Amino acid sequence: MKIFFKIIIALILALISWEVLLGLTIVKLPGTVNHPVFGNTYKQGLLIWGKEGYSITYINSLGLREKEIASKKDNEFRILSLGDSYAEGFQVPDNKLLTAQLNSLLNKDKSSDKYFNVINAAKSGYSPSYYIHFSDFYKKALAQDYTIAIIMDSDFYRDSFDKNQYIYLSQKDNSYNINVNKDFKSNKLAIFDKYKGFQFLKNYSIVNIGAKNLLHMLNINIGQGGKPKNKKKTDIKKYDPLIEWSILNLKNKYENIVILYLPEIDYDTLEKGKSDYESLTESYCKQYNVSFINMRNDFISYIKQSKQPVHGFFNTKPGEGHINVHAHGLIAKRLHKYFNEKF
Amino acid sequence: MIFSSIDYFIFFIVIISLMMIIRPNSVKKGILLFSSYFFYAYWDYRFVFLMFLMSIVNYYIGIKIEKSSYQADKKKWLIASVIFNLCILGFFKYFNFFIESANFFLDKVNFRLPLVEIILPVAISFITFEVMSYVIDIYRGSNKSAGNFWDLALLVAFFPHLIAGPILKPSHFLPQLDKDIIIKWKNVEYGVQIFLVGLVKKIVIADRLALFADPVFQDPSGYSNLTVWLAVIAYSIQIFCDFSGYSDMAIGSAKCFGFDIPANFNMPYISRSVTEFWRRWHISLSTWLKEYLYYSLGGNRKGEVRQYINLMLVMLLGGLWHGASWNFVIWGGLHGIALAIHKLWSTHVKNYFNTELFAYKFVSWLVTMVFICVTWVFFRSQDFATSGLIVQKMFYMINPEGIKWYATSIIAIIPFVIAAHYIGARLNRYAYFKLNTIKGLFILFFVILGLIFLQPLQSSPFIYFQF
Repeated sequence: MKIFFKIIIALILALISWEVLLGLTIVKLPGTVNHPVFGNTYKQGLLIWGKEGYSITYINSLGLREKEIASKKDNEFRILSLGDSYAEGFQVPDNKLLTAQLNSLLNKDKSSDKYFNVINAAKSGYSPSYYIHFSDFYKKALAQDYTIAIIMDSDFYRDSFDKNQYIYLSQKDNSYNINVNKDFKSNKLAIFDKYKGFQFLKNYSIVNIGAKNLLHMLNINIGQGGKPKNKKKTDIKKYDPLIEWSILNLKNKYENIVILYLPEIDYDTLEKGKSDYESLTESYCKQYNVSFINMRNDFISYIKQSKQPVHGFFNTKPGEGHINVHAHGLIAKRLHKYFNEKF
Repeated sequence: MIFSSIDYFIFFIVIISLMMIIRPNSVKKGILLFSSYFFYAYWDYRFVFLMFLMSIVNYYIGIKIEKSSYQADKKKWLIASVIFNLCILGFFKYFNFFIESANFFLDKVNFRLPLVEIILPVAISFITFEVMSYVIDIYRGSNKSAGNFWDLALLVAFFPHLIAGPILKPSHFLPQLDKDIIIKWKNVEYGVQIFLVGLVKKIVIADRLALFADPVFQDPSGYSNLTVWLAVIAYSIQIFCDFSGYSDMAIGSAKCFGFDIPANFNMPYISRSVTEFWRRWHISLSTWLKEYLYYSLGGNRKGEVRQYINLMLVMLLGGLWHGASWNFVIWGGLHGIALAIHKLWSTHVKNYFNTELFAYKFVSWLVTMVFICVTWVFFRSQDFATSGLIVQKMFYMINPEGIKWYATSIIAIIPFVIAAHYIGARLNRYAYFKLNTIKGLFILFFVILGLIFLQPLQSSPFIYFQF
């Protein structure tokens, strides 16, 4: 009996030690809450992200990676930046985020009395259907003057029709319906969602990391949910109407919008041309007179000149994964140029 | 079945449980032998028969040598054994290597010899050296033949050391088989801790560093000079932790059954000369090469020049033992040259220096480490062209620019390397944690949980499995 208690005490102490260590170095999540508009989203609080790059950041009451958003001032020009995990940029420190850098670049120009406030409204897993669906809420709650929608190929071929997402599309003749997945909980560790009483455990770093690794060790499929991987980008004809529908709806829903396109870079053949999705997005933006920025040339020139990739971090293989600080900086500069020309 | 797999844990628990239940020692030995063959067959059952054949032929020759009255007869049997063993090794491991090397020259006269599809049996190099040492020891009179065939079969096949050593000295292991195999808590407690240190070295350090070193070695031209240096350093740590981790797991597993397997590494990266490095690195192989090859060639008994030639020959063959590739031969050759130079230095130059000075010690260590790291380039690279490219990049002989990738893992891993070394060194002195105290149990759980949390999702195979 004595040894049994010793085992329990030792195990608990070891778990507490690892919870602290992992929370400081790999991942510490603030937990989730069921938001009336966004559905299952991060709770307000501190978030530590050590996967790929490293950041200690704050999640506000809207589940956004931002400080609490105050009511709009008279001279404030508010820019809303929409995107997925690439723009949300947990891998990048707060001050290196594209929104933070754009903010400081815009406010450095003191020629006008305008005060620019760039808000990072990007969230992991989001795609144009989310931006379209939440447009009224954004307008009402955030009252932006301008919107940046950051999009990429995978928004179309991977995310749009994925029924494991909170928002997904279904096709009806030549149009699309936006569906809300009420049962959506999380795209990770779906195994815990089966047992509602144990969902809180996901907020602990030891469970979040340990369960995934343990199940991987045991070769058990953990039901990653949200993001089906390696979905082939076939049949561009299927996605052509979707791209057109997305561009048109973004234009209709957002008064002032610029679409910023994040290209997929093939680091082995940098000169490889545009993807079909990229060309279609560009041509529909032109057709419907929507401002369009393609980061391809900026990225490639930078890679050639500096020899540094714009994807990947010290923790991961360069050229793979999310965009890094270099890319965030390039995007901020390009948007700064765009807004300077615009105003 | 690899030590770091769930399969091995199940296998190990089943075997140790059986050993605890069963009483007769002969049955216990039988179970160990059967489980060792099962362990080997888990990779490829076809080569179990080859291992059996090598064991039985060498057992028979061992008896013949022992019973021969005349030295000439003993020698004939020894030669027969050496030829038999080397033919098997040569056919499976080197046949295509020699054909390809011959084709390099034959290409010039538009002629090519055909390659043969040969599957390399796992651990063939280790098995060959094990049986050879058994026969040579009997020939030299330094050991007797095994009491029965099954003891020799167990020496060869004993699963903890079967795949990647350490190469056991028959005179050290066979007497242990004469004693009863008793599972003792003290041994299990000690063995589990050594095993866990090895597992940490493998999973937390080596596999993590592989994620950095592998891509750089794959495409060195794309990375900056400093990144290439870091990758070479990372590989140097990776190969040490991978191989010494495996050895620790072998020693720990054997200890649980009550068997002592000698340490295979002794902090090799603190060496201040290549000679010292080889006393600390892969000790069972360097001992084998010294006792069975270097001494057979005459060692240092035939003059200074002959000694340098012997050192060179031993290291060239030692390099080739690692793999059928010219890269390994170059690696071995470089170490042979370094050993000869160090011998020359020690004999003729060293006395002019104050070797007790810190500066002397530090420079000796630094020169040794740079040399060891550079030679690992040849060991790791997929071909000679890649090795050349990496070395040129390291020493600014070509454009040093490229992707600057300073992997966090190489910095983050340092505390683990120190901890693994420190705890490993303590374990060697039998200063281990008592697993019935809260402190001991806390460390046990902390390490086991750490293995779960810190394992990279992409694991690398043990480097020495290919040999």
